[in-house]
Amino acid sequence: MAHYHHDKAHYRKDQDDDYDNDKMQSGHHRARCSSDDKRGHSKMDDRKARAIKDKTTNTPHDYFADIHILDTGSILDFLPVPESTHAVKHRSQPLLQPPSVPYTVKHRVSHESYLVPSRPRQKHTSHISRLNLSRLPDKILSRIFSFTSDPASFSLVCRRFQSVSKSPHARAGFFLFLYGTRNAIPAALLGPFHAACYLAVLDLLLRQCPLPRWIVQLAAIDRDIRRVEKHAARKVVRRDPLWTTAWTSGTVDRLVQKGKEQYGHEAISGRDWMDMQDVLEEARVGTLLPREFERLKTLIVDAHYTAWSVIDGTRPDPPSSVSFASLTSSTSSSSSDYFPTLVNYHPPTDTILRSLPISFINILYRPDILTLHDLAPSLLRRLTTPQTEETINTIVMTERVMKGSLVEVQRLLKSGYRVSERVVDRVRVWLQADRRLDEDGRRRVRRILKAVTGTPYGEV
Amino acid sequence: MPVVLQASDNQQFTIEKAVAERSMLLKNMLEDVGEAGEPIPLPNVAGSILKKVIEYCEHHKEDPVPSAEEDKDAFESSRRKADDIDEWDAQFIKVGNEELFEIILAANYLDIKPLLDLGCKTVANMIKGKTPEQIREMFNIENDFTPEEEDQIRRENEWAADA
Repeated sequence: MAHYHHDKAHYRKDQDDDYDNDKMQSGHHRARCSSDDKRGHSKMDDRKARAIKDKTTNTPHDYFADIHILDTGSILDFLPVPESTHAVKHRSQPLLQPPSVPYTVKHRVSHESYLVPSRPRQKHTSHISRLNLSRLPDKILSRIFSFTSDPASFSLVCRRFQSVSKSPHARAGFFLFLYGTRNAIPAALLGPFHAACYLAVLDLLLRQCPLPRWIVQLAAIDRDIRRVEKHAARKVVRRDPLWTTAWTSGTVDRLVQKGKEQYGHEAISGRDWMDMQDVLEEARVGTLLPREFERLKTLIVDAHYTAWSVIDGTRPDPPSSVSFASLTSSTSSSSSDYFPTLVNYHPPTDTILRSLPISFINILYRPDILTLHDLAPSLLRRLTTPQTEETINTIVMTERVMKGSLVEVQRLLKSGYRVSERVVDRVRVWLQADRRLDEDGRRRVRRILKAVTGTPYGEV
Repeated sequence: MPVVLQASDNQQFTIEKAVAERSMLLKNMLEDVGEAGEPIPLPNVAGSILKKVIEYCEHHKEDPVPSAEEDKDAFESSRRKADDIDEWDAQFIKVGNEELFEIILAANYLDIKPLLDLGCKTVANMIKGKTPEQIREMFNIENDFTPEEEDQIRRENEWAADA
C-alpha cells in the first residue's frame, strides 16, 4: 500500500515537473509514459531520456503530445503505442470519458489525385475551434441550407456542404422555406430554381404540399407532346427556357400519376387556366352568375389554383413560329390513328403553350387580380402566396381599387402577413413619382403603408 | 413538480415542468417515466450550454406548441419571419460561433425545434451575401475542392445562378 502511495506521489511529482519543464520550454503539455517502479523502470528511464534528448535537440517526437498513457500496469506499457490508441488521459482531468483526440484530416486518395494536383491546403493555426460549421451533423447542415438565400455559395464552400446541397431532403426544405407549403410545388417546377427540382425532391414535396391540378394538367400535356415527338422522331429545337426543360420523364409521369389519384382521371384533361380566364372575363363584363362564382371558388380552393406570379402587364401573344401543323405533318403520314389515343391533347393550344417561356405560364396579370379583388375579397385571401406582396403592391398602386383596398389589406394583415421593405420602398418611390393622385388618395396610401409595415410613414 | 436536469459536467439545474416540456425529448421522457424526481442526465450537453437552453425555454414557455399537423404551416409561416428574428431571440443568439454551434447541437439533441430553427437561421443569415471564400474564413472551413472540381460545381450550380 505504501509502495502504491509512493508510486502515485512519484507520478504526480513527475507530472508537475514535466508540466513546469514544458511550460518553460514550449508551452505545450508534454506527454510521457507513467512510471511504475516495479515494472520496467529502466525502460521508462530510457524513454524519458530519449524524450528529453528530443526536446533539447528539437527532434520531432510528438507522438504522445497532449496525452498520457494510462497506468494500466500491463506489458502494453512497454510496447510502442500506435497513434490510434485512445486509451489516454488528460493531465489534469479525471478519467470520466475519452478525451478528444487531436483532429487529423484523412485525405481521400483516389486515382485522380495522381493526375490532378490538389489545391494547397489552408494553413491551420492553433486558434481554430474544435467545433466548426462543417462538423455539424448533416441534418443540421441540411436545415441551414433550407434557410439560406444563396444556395450556390453554400455548395461551393467544401465537399461536405456540396453533398448536403445535393440531397433531396435539403432541397425540398429549401423550396418549402422559400415558397411555403402551398406554393412549393409550382415554384419548384416552374420557378427560378426549377432545375434543382428532380424526382426525389418532388416526391418529398408531394408528401406535404398540395399538388395544384393545373400543374398535373401541364404535365399531362407535356407527356403527350413528348409521345408525339418521340413517335415522329423529330427533334423540336428548344429556344428560351421552356417550362418543360427541367422536367424529366420520371417527373412528368409522377405528376400525372399523383394527379390521377388526387383529382380523378378526367380532371387531368381539363385546362384550369382557361377556365380561370373565362370566369374572369365574364366577371369583367359583369355577367358573373352564382354558378360561375362557385366554379371560380372550386378552382382556387379545391384545385389549388395559385397566383404564384403576378405580372403588371398584358398577356403575351403566343409565338407564331411554332405551329402545330409542322408537328403533325410528320406524324400524320406515318400513323394517322395515333392522335386519338392521346385523349389529353388539345393540339394547337397545347403546342403553343408548351413553347412559352417559364415566366409566361400560369401568370395572373394585374387585371386578373383586380377583377378577383372586385369580385370577391375573400377569394383574394385564398390567393395569399409569397407573391401576395405583389398583390398588395398592385392594390396600393392602382387608383381604381384604392377605396376598397385598405379593407382588403387589413384582411391580409390579420392572417399575419407583412410586406417586405422592398415593396414599401417601391410604393414610396411610386408615390413620389406619381402626381395623378389627389390628396385623398395619398392619405389612403399612407394609411395602407402604415398598416402593412406597422410603423407610421411621414408625409410622402 | 420541478424537474432536475444534469449536464455532462454534473451541474444540476432545477426547472419547472412547463419549461422542460419545451423539449420534445424531455416531454416524452417525462411522459414515459413519470415524475420520478431523480435528475435526468443529459450527457451530450455541457452545463454552460444547458443554462442557455433553459434560459430560452423559460422565455418561451408560454408560446403555443405547434402540433405535428400544424408543423407544415409553421414552416410556411416561418418564411415570413426569416429575416426578422424576434428581438429577444436575436439578443439571445448573439454568441460566439462555437457556442452557437453548441446551442444548435443541444437544440437538436433535446428536440427543441424553435431553438434549432433560430440557430440555423442565424447561421444562414451569417452566410447571406458572402462568397464561398468568405464563408470558409468566417467558420474556419478548409477548402477541399480542387480548382477543377470548383469549376464543375459552378457549372452544376447554374440552377441557382439563374435565380
